[in-house]
Amino acid sequence: MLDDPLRQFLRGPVMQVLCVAGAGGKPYIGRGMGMIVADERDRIDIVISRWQWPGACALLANGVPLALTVCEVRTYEAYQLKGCIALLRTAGSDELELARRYIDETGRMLTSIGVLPEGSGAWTMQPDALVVALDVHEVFVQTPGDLAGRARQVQP
Amino acid sequence: MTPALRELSACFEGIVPALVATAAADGMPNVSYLSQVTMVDDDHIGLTNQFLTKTSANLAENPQATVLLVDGCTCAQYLLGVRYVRHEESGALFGRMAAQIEAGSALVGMAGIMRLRRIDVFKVDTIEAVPFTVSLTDAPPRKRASLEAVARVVQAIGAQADVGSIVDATLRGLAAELDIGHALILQLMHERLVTVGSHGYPAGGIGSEVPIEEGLIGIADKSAQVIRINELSRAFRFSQAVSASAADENRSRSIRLPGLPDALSQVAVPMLVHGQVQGVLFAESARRMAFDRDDEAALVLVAGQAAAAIWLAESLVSDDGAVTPAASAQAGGGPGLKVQYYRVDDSIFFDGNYVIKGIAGRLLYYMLEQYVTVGTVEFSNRALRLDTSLRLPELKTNLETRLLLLRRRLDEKDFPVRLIQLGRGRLGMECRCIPELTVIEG
Repeated sequence: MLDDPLRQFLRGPVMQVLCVAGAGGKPYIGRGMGMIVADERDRIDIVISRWQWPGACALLANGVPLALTVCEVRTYEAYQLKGCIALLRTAGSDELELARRYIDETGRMLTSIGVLPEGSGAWTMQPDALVVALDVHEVFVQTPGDLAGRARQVQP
Repeated sequence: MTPALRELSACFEGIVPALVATAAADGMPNVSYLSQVTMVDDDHIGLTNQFLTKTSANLAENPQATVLLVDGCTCAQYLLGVRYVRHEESGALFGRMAAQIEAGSALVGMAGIMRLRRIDVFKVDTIEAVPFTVSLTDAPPRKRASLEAVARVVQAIGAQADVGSIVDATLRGLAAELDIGHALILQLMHERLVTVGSHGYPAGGIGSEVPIEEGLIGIADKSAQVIRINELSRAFRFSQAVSASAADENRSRSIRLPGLPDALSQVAVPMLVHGQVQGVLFAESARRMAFDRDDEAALVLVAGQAAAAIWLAESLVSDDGAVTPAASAQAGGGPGLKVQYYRVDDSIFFDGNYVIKGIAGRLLYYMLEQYVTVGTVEFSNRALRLDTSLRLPELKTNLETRLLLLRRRLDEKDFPVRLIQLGRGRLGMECRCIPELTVIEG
């Protein structure tokens, strides 16, 4: 599912949005704050704040279906990755540092292109983050255009 | 405290894209970006559906959805628990959002790609503020257009009788009463929108044209919908910042449309009379989120009044008085002025400098010819309208507006030929030169 161009894309300053469904079918949203993309496996570790997204975080558990949409806001290139949660753990210091860097870099990028207003300050990181490991089973194109909604072709 | 939907107006400006999450019957979730979310009423929102195939399929199985909105001013986020109610593929709401999307996508170089297929309407059940640690310390105060201020502008426009005064009263009123310092009035002339008035720009741009269907202004004209963009992409702003020099004007025979190089907010309002678009009132600002729904409503009222007043002024002039004989005088002195008139597009050049083209150019050449051959210095609109040699396309052909545009273009460029308003429907020609006319065929 994950080839080198997609891995490279995922390691860039992309917006990350997770979604899980509750028992009654109600969907819950949360924003990711940094990802670790495995080199050899179809697995992504995503950092998410429990304080900010309690609804989504309460549903995260091993084996739960999860959708992750990633978007590069400068180019509108976007993909949706679907699969199941393989592992859930509390974020360690390395992952919190990753999240801080992500927030800093993405915040600067969003400000530079006018999405965030000047003077909006830095996002602060809460030390209650979780790390969700997603085993990716499917990847769909979400970039606006003819291919939107179709399965992404893995590049050899 | 749970905010009301109406309090989230800054979330509906499309500055930070919203997201919609749905789930299939088997529990597999789906989350997609939205290009536009709008408030339908106090309990419903509309989501634009362009590429949301999976979202639509999920909603058919499970009408529950969650929408994530972001306030473009404060960055505050809100989670809306919503339930799918219906979809719309036509009607007022659809038309408004389709035009908005067309304009927004054209601005980011994706014209025609992000075409609206339908709007999904949802009932909002819950609104939950997301805990957020971004604080915006220098948030600009939101300006609100008061009804009294709008009334003063409308009243001032209504007091004017000629097109020039109506245009001036409109632009002056926007600046003084509504704090809108950069605005244009464009009128529809022969398949193009032509600038007849501007305020707040170093170069007035009188006579500059916007092709039908092009850009924010053209889309407002084509769709007869208000187009409001509160965050312009850098690419668009850079493209707007490329300025045309006077040399370009002479080569291209076109006048540069005035524009703020650092505009962040723009709004284009169609000027409607009897349901027909007569022109566009355009305003812009270097501030983010400069125009909200109240400003839009105020501009719609002002644009409607100005459109009706211009239409009435044109209509009344065509019906007034009898044909007045043109006053004559000896042509004035001064240095020679080489006037070149190109029949192919009715363009006129003074000493190699582009003046104007089209019907306004034909009118100017006609008046110069009259001035040179028989010494005519005074012209009545009615006489011009009835002169078949001018080949005016129809009886009511925005003559007064075209003459206003011509008069102001001559003033703006400080050409040695001027047209002076002598009274309602009467113009005088002043020349600080001796025109030497040359007609270039082909």
